[in-house]
Amino acid sequence: MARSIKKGPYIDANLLAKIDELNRINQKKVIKTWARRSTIPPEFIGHTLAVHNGNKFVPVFISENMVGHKLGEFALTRTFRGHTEKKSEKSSRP
Amino acid sequence: MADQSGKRARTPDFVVIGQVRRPHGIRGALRVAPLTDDPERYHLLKRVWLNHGDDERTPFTLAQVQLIPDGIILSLDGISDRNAAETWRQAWVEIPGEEVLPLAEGRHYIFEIIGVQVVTEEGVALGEVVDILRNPAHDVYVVRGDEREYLIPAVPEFIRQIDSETGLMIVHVVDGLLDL
Repeated sequence: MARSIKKGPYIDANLLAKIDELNRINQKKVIKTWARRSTIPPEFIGHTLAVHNGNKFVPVFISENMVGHKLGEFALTRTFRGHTEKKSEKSSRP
Repeated sequence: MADQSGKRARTPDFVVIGQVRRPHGIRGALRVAPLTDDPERYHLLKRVWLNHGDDERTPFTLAQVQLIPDGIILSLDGISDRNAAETWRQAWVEIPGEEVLPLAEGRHYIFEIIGVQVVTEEGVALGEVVDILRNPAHDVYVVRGDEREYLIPAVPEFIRQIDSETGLMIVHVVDGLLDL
């Protein structure tokens, strides 16, 4: 069952307070968080959060199209070691 | 980016574009899982090399290519029955390094990024890219330094420049990025 609309999205209060403070002083800093269940609000856009995946903190740069998703969706907890991509014709775009 | 032979900098002699999953049908066709950004590129090929993971490669001329939802069906001259196709299970499908497709501006092949030296804008050497984590939001470059590993998000805000010819990547470091 989906979360009630009346409650609004769950956003980790501590995290939101830290981001609001960074926005207020117009500064960028990587913030470590375990709040994988937190929804991403528009205030997070342009910040980088280090989301814990159970093993280490994975840096996640928040972009516009991630708003409304949960932080945990972007820090995978399992490592796929299937195909070797190191010598394949696959590319990466910074 | 490319030398006179058309080969890009840091390109290996052979580049993997797929892996044989299993035989398809009784006429020697192979079902292949593509390991390329653009599976349509198979239509441009005339020859491929099959390799069981060692340095012994066997060239084959493509007879037919069919793109299906979960891969590619390749028919190769010289593999005409299912028994012959069975011997190529799990083999890598390769092409020479000169034949890799040109990329859009700003994109780099993974083999060009692995091994580049990473320095900050201030000139501090962090180490070498040893792996790329394919995360849903963006790739993350794993940089191994002398003492520890660093995770750098592959977004323009952090990656200022990648020069695959000189093997150098310049990154912008913000507070906390190197403490992860």
